[in-house]
Parts: sequence; C-alpha cells; structure tokens
Amino acid sequence: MNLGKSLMILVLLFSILGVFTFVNSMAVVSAQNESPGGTDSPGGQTWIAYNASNVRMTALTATITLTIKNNKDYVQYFKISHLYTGSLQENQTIKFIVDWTDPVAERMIDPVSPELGGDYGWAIQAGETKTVKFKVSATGLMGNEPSWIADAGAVDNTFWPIIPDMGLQASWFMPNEIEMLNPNLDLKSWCGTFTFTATNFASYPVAGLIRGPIIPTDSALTSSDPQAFVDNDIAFNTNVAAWDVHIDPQESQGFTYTYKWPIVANGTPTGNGQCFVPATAANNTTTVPTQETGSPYGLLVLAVLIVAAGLGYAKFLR
Amino acid sequence: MILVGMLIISLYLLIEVGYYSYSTNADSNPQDTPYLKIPKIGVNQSINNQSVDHGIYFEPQSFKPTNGTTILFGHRTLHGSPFLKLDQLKPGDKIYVEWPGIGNVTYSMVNSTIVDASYQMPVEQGNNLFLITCYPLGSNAQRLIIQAEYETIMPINQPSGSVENPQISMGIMLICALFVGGMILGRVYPVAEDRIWIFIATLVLTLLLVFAYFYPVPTDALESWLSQLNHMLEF
Repeated sequence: MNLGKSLMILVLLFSILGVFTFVNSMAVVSAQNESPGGTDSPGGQTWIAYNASNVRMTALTATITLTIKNNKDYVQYFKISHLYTGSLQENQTIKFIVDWTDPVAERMIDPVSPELGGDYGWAIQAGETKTVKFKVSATGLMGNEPSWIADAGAVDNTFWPIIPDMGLQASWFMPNEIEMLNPNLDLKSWCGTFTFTATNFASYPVAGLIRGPIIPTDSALTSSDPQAFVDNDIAFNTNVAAWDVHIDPQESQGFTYTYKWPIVANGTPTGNGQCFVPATAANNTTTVPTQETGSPYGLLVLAVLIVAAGLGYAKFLR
Repeated sequence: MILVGMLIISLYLLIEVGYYSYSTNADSNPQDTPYLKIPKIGVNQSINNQSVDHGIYFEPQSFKPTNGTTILFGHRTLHGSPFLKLDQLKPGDKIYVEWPGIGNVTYSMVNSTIVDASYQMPVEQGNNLFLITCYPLGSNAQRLIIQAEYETIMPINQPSGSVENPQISMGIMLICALFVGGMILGRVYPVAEDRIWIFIATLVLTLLLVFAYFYPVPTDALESWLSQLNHMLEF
C-alpha cells in the first residue's frame, strides 16, 4: 500500500475525531461558564417582569449530607457558608444560621459571618474521606420574612394580547464548587433536602407555578412532597423541582424536595429520598479498592473506522 | 491499515473468547457455586472468588450474605459484561443471591451512587449488598455503586447452576464471526494483489482465538495495555 496516502487518510480520520472532541469540549466549557445563582434560561423563554409576588416563601431550611476527600498530604478545613446570593428579590441575600452538625463541627478562627453565629467547619486529615451532615435555616428573608426568587433577566411587558406567566423563578448553585475554591478537596457525593412554606398573601385565590428556591446543578431530584415535576428549561443541566399550585387567600402550604449529586447513571431520579452517601473511609475502617470493571472501547471503534477507511481508500482513491 | 484495524479488533475478541472459555469450565460444578440473579436486567450468573475477569467477583474482604456487607464486582464492558445494564435498576428492584450453605437471599435495591475510581469501599456497612461496576459505559474513570438492603432468606430448592450455561457457545460464535468477517472483507477488498494478506491475517488471527479458547491465558496485561492506549488517545 502507498504509505503516504495511508498516512493522509489516518491524519484525516484523526482530524475528524479532533473536531468532534473540540466541539464537545466547547459545549462542556460553555456549560461550566454559566454563572451559578444566575437566571439565564436555555429554554428560550421570555420572563416578564412583575410586581411583588402574591405567593412568598418562608421557613426555608436545607439539610445537607456530603462526602469529601482531602487529596493533599496535610490537613485541610472546610466550613458551612451562611450566605446564599441567589437572585432573591431586590438583590437581597439569604442568610442561614446553623441548626446542627454531625459530627460536631468546630468554630473556625476566621469567621466570615460572625453576626450569624460564627463559622463552623471540620478538619479533614491528609488522604481522609469524610462524611458530614448539617442543617441550616434561613433567617430574615425567606426565614420569618416572606420573599421569593425573582428573575434578574425579566423584561418589561411590551407584548399583547397574551403573555406567558412563568411563575416563581428558581436559583441554582454548583454542589462541587468547593473543588474550584480549594482544588485539594474532592467532593465525592452531595445530597440535600430543602423545605419551605409558600403562603398566598393576596385576598383572593391564586394559581401558577412555583419552583424550588435553591436548586443544585448537575443533580437529580430524588424525592419531593408534594410530588413535583422537573422543569429543565431554567438552566443548563439543572432539573428544577416545580409545582402547579392553587392557593386560597392567606393559605400556606409546605414543600420538601431532595437532590443528589452527581446525577445517577441513567440520568433519572433514583433513591427513596433519603441521603445515602457511601460510608466514610475512616482510618479505622476496612476498605477495599474498587476493581477495574470496564475496558474503554474507543480503540475498538477506531479500529472499525480504520478498516472501513482502508476499504474506502482502496476502492475510491487507489 | 486494514491489518492494523483487524489486529486491534481481534485483541478485543481475544479478551472475550478467553472469558467465555473460562466461564464454560467454571460452571462445571454448579452445586457448589453461588449465583447472582437480577431478573430486571436479565442477570443470572455464577459468582467466583478468583477474578473479576471471570465474571461476577466476590470481594474476599467482604462477607458472605447475611454475615455482613457483601460486595460483588462485575464488568460493564467485555468479559461477558454481566453488569452492562446495572444502571437500569430502580429502587425496589429485587436482587437474589443464591449461596450454597446459606440460602437464597433476597435484597431490595435502595440507591445508587457514582464515585471516582480511586474510591475505597468500606466493607462494614451492615447486611447490605453492593454491586460495583465501571461508569460511564466504555470508560473506567468512575464506579457505579448499587446499594441493596437485605430483605429475606429462603432455603435453596433448585440451584440455578443446574441450568445450562447460555453463554457456552459465545466464544465459538465470536471466533466464527472474526473468520467470516475477515473472509468477507478479503472478498470485497478491491485490490486483488492485497487480498491474500487479508486472508492470511484472518486465518492467523482466527487460529490465535481458537488457541485462546482451548488454552485460556490471563488477559490482564493485554487489557491494561489497551486501557493505556485508550487513555493516550483520550478515549
């Protein structure tokens, strides 16, 4: 066979593969660049700005279980953040106070939010994989002060005769953001249960969509009460829990929803709503490495392509 | 170029033929062999304690069913792919482990999670069953862990091993597929003077697989080499 032409075909083949890889990489980078807590909608929907919402939320809580590993050869710390800068109405911040932690957390030497009870965190030894659980409750807005998540990109109404009513917006965050803030820490799994109460403050019954106020990205909705549907038009790779509600005047309704990160194998919700996290590989626990149970078959696909390309080359170019 | 492609394909087939050759021999004494059955995804296969390359592998540092945490590994690709569809399990799906001397143990799937390949699996997690395979499909970068809770135990009435191994002819079928595919390729190859090389290569590679079928050899090194090559090419 002509070596020069063979090489040319191979180069062409790798070029095509390279283009596909590049396009995929760009898609991933584009998704990662979306700002957490933002409100850009990939669904092509237009949100119309409105006055104060009739339905507002209170009693927001989050119970979070996570497993994290220290990849460094010396001790690291991580702690609970009190502030959530989602797109709350009037650009306010949700402030959380820590209700409890398991295991018991330590007070940190450098508190970011001393006015909210000080910062609580955990030491994680070199190479240790640690599982912690904690509960936080909103104080002020969305705590005992009713509030809602607004859409920062909403436009003034210039449309007629009908316009969409999108309901209450959600905000979102990346559970594994800690890995970017401190690359020595490796988030293994994350599970969070959120609760809130929605109240109709109008003097008449209202209907519409409300969404979970805080949603983790790249996570699966594993349970909800009442049963939610998933709105995946709100943000890329985000499955927003949403409810179609009819609420009488001054009536309140409680909502609970649980997410797990990362999304399970087939991308569909799984679990019983409880936060199962692989047990901590503590120093005194017997652990076993996971076996190699899969062989990448990209090379096999390439081999089939090579045979096909060789056949095509011999038939049409030679 | 075609010969290189054929060689790579036959290396993958070599791994599979070696596996099927082993599994045919391993099930020769089914009365003493434990079995894993997952009706939802069509798994009904023996459990071995030698290697995950031989099918479903019992982690020796874990415990037999009802004595503690049971950990089973299985390949998602190649080696019969026993856990190919493990990701299709949903909470509540039944998993049965038939263990001679213990009984027919029923588990119920409760959850799944994905961890990095470096994850160290604790073996003291109560009477739970953990099924572990690679994730995503065609990669070994992560692990999919299925957790199932112990439910009941019943006596074994009819050991599954008495059922004839449905994979018994798979190795021979793969060898035939390579031979027929190679011959067809040689036949349709448009350059007459090069056809002889394709026929010779087909014959040599087929004989290699036949040899591997009757005299199975460990394919760990070959798999490791293929994995490294895949990683180098960033597949």
